[in-house]
Amino acid sequence: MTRIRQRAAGTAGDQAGSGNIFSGKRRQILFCLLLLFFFSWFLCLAVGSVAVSFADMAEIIMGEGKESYKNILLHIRLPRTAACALAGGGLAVAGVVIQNVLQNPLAGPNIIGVNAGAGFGVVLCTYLFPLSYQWIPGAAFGGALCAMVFIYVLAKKTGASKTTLVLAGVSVNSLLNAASDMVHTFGNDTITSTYSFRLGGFSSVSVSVLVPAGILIGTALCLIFLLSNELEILSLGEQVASSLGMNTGFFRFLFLVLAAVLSGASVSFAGLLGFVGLIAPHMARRMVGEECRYLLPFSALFGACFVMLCDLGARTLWSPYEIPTGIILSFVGAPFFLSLLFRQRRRRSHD
Amino acid sequence: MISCKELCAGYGKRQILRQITWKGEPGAFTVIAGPNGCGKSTFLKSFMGQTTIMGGELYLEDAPMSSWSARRKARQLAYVPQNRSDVSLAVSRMVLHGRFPYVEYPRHYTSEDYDKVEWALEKMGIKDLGDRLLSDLSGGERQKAYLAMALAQDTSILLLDEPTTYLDISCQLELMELLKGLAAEGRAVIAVLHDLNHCLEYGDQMVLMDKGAMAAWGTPEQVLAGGRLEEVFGLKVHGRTWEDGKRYYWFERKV
Repeated sequence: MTRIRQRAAGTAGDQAGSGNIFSGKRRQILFCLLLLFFFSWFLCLAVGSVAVSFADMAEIIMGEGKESYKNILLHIRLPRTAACALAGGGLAVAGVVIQNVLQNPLAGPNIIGVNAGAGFGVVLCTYLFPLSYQWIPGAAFGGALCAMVFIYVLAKKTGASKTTLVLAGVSVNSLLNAASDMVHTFGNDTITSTYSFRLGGFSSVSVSVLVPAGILIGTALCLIFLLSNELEILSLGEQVASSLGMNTGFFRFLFLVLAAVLSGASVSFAGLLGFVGLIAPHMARRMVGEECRYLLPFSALFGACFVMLCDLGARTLWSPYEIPTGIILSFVGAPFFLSLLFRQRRRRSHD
Repeated sequence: MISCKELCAGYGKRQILRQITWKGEPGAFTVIAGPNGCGKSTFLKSFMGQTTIMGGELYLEDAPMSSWSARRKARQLAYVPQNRSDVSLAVSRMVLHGRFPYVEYPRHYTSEDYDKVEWALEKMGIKDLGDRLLSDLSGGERQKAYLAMALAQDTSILLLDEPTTYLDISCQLELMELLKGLAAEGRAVIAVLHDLNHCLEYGDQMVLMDKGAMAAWGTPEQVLAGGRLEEVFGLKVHGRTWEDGKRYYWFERKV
């Protein structure tokens, strides 16, 4: 009995023996990812046009150190690094939630138009209320939620297949991006007309937007982690979940609202950062399987590390020039993701 | 026990089931047969609240189904649907979700829940597969895993929608024996089946459906003797009792 309990609880470790390829690996992967997270965080703070050593950082933490270093660290690099971690973690978890709820591995916040909806909300808000930065996260959430509800209702009412849903998402994406472009045409001096926003980047992150967005992301992440069991059961399908006594309608709606909060809040300061919501969940699945209590934190950590390192590359590789983080994200992520997909396919065909 | 009275149901505005009155029987393996599109799956789904009820009433333990909360109902009624997603979850983890109706938030499973998982895996003969991922299993093993999850739900009624689909003949026969055994322990096992041989050989009770209505209901022998089976399927049924005492059937299409 103990063995089954260990297996089901996922604590079997190496002694559980054969079978589940993930047993025993999880702890090692978690340790490696945590190390990578702290290492990336430190690198993002230390590396840049002005190098800040570990000793300098320690001095600043103790309340000493050079004033210029303090300004760079506390007012520029720390908010930017936090923004990268929040956006990466938030979009990755939004991807897991959307994929599980729609039972579609091809779905992601940037694929089905949720990010574009959030982007349109931000564009409209900055056009109509140019100085009201505190409304931006709310507007992004509103846009993301509208796009999400539209796609969900479309999928539910028409019984659309997985492919049709993705194609519908691509259309919604185009429509919302066109709407954003139209607003830009009438008011091209908004912050959202910058390349950084359109491609996703952190060059214009401000603490006034980051703080409310960070609170939203933190709250949504906590709620999703607490409801990981429910999210996992939803991935078994509507019929199985409802036969287990779950109120599937309520939980689907709740999870989609939470995913919209994560996407909207991330887009409000990171712009239309794509891809991480698709790649991070898939990477985490390959590492730890589908159990949500592992999948969610691993996706969040992977997404955060990935965005932090890509942002580091974006601002240092072509220094003194800086390119939008979204470009590096796609340049690094796409080939990496493709190689993973084809390697697995090759392995399967060999088996 | 579950029952329905003059049940009319469908999807949206499209009515499929017409005036069905039926009562389940504890300790019996009830098979539901009928031509494609006659409403067999819709009938099962109606008990799970997955159709639009247009008339009549469904009952669980003599109380209207609508008076049961989803969680209380899940402690009485388990359902194995035909279409499921085969995710990369460990089998024991998935079977543990069968205990979901019994755990309150924050959903900490107790030792009783783990005991039930072990019992269910053992009962289905897949204890050694507990560590394996569901997506790596064969069709037959997957079906047993889902059945183990339904068993872990510890219900007195078990509904299965075409459980033999995609299974080879050996797995089909093994599954029929398993279901018959589960019914013999006192559960009401109700399954939609396509294979008339399975229906006639293994069923204790048979519900024959045609065009959304109930064409016949009784023991398989009674249904066969009434002539409705041949009429509904457009078949001539031949039967012969062999030396082992079992009766075997074969079918001929009426031209």
